[in-house]
Amino acid sequence: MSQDNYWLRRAQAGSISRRRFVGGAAAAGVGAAALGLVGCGDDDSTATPTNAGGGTTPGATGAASPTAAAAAPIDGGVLVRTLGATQFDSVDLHRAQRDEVGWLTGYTLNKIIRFSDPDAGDIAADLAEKWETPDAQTYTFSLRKDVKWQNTPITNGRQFTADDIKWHIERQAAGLLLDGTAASFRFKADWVGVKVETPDQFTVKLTLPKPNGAFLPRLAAFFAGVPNREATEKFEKSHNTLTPEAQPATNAFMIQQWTTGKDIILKKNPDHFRKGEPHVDGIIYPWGLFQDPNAYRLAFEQKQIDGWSSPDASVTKSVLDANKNTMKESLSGVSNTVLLHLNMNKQFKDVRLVRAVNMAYDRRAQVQAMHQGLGQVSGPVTWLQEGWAVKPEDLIKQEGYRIDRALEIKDARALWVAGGGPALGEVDIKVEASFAALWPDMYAFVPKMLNDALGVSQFKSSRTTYNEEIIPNLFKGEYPNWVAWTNAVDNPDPRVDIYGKFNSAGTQNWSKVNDPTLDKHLNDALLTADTSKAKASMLQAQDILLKNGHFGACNLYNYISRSARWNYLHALTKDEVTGGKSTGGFWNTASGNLEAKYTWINSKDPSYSDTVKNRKL
Amino acid sequence: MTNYIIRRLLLNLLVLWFVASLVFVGTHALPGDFAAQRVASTFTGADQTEAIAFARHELGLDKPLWRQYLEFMGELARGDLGTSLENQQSTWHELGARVPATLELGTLIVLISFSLSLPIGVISAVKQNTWIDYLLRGFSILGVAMPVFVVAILMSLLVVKFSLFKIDVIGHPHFWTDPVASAKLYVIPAIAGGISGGAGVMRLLRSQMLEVLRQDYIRTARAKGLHDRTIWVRHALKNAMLPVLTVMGLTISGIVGGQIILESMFNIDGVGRFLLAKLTTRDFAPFQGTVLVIAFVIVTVNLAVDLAYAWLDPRIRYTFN
Repeated sequence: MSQDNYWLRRAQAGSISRRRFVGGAAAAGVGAAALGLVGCGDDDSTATPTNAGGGTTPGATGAASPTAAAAAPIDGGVLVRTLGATQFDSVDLHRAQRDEVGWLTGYTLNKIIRFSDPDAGDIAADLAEKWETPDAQTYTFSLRKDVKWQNTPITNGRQFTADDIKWHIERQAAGLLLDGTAASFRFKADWVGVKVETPDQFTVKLTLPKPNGAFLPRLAAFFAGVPNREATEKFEKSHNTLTPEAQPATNAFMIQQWTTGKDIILKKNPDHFRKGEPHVDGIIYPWGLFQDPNAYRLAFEQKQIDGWSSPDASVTKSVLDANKNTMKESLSGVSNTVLLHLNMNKQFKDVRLVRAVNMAYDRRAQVQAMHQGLGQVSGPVTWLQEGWAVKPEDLIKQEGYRIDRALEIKDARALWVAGGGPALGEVDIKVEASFAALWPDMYAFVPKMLNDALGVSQFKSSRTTYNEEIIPNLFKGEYPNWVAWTNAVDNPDPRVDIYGKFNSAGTQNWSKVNDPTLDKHLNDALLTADTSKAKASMLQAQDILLKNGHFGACNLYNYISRSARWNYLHALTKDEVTGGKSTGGFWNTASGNLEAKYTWINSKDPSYSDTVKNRKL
Repeated sequence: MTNYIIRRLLLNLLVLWFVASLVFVGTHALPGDFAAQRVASTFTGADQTEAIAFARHELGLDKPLWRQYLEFMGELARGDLGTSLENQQSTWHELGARVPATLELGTLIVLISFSLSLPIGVISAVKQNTWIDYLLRGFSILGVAMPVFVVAILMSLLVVKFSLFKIDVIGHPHFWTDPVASAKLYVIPAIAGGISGGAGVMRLLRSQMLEVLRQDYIRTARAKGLHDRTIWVRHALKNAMLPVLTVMGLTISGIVGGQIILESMFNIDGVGRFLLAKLTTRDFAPFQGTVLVIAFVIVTVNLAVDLAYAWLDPRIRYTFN
């Protein structure tokens, strides 16, 4: 404590007497009172959505600063980012349930392969420098020989080998701890039955129990980082306690500090195999700081953090407008899809009723009302997964997405009557509480919209929660009709997700969909290693879903977050990666590993200041 | 008097047990527990029942409620306020890290509050129905009417707009580590909280003073030829202070509980924000422990205020029937 004490430091330096110490302390208090009297009198990963048919889109803004775009990257400096309401439930990536853990490992751990463009799903090398896929069941990876674990106790700069990957897969598949007890491994199902062979220290051959064309994207997706065996086993029993040593890095950043309620500090890994990365010396994430908009904004406007977003997008806009020369706008798609789910096991057994509500639900009106127009309608595959989604110009021809609202209403009313909708009595479309907390008007908006569109008065909206009512009843088919946001889109390849929801053998097929044609398209898409064939099959599957009101699991839209950042921050943007060929979209949650390459601080930018310069890890 | 104090202390113990039990029941009646909150906070579409059950078992949340209650009481009896499920830190440790910030802010709020309210209350009373009285009453009404966060936001916007000084909302500076940065961080919340806390006291003191100034003994004091300032301070203020003291005691007690709004707005890592965070995450042990500490402070301050009555007014004598 004495090291931190300003007064003791000054006293020890002989620059302050005891009398002055006491007097100074008193004066500080009085000074504050006197001032009182006077007073009386990635996070911000970004993208630039562009206008696309069928969607409500913002104007295209947010072009990279000319200064930053023209300049070569400058090394050094410390980024300070935001970390909202956050919990890390485990330092063990295999056992973690919280998405935050997967997010953090994007910076510290490498995957076998990774996405070079996480929106389009383009795959690039990471731990593996090359791979062979003779069929959709066999995958052979040749690993890089220059990958080392961070050079600190426990790992001591050890060479990364094929054994690390073998352990990584086999531990998850077994689902067992060192003492033989079973534990909850979040992605166990992905690895059960996978045979791992390591012919040498730098080759891994994986044989799947059945063909899976979506296996490569799975290896590149969220939570696919390969953690360290020694550290994981050492901290296995205390995995709930956040300890930086429990997660050694191979990637560009190492965890220097990981303290609940305080902050996360990531430090440049000097032994990272991609030389020259990262550009910055480190990143500080103050923990849960900015739950209050005032503190958040204060920190941003005084350059204590690099980016900021107000809960009210118009406030962000006003700050941007007032600082046009020093800030730039970032528009990024929010990966939590807004979803309407109708229970086809109960009230909505007749698919005509589902179609009627899907058409009556005015997606664009909701984007306008709740998100100030910042959003874009999503089909069964969201617009964020642009490589696989129905093109906007085709989507607007489908029911529920047509621009001609009168036509939608006419068709919806006819189907509602034909399906026996009026006889259903009261229909409660519940709003999930965490969604309603941000948009409380939903309780009034949803029933009014549906009643007006269908010309009835039978819709109402009440409160529900995922934990209490929805999740416990999903697998029993007893869940309510609800509208809310879903989990984050975490993989540009939607095949596994769509298969799970709509294939008759899918594990999340709560609507009990059983359509042989749909099953065939979904199976075809999943079983082929040919991506173009898979995409064609997925489009056919989506066509069936669109013609059947998504069988009750209706994706509505993905909205867009507007944020501001100082010009000195040269951030990871889609333009950066695609060479200015941004076609709209977002950086999904698998983009963290690209941060090291594209983010740097431009110390020559006029907005750069001493506050930024003086940051210390 | 000693007998009274001992009995009050015993009664306080009973109150603390009641508070602890009430908080335990209240928190456990809330929907969801820490395990569910942590595991199933996002909708993954997967069946997380097994994961939640594993987490519950690991954290000891699958024990019967009565057993958890007995363990909680047993820990309290040993002076243990429990351990956080989130980071495995003891509540004492967690509180110890946050109390300094709360006390820094609280002390400044109290200083500003009382240094504004006492003179304004007295001046307003002795200058009744003059322009000074109207001005000071207007100020106090404004202080009551303006929510604390509005005052704080307006002031911070001014600071940012005119680049007056840096409000370090990230560094958590303390008075003893960096007094200048600390003063800059705390000045706005302290003023906002001081005005808000002092406004009610101003109005109460004014009305009490007006009542006392009409008493016969004040007239007698005047007749004796005492100076006005002596009459106001020595005779009137002391008697007018009794009900004001109660309000001031509550103000001080409230400060120990943390200023949730102000702490959140300026990212001050204090008790109030800690309490809110623990309730939100259903991390009940530190929440319960913190509430209990706050309750302890409140009953203790109340006792001190009651005892101060006897000092202010020697006619008051406590007995416990």
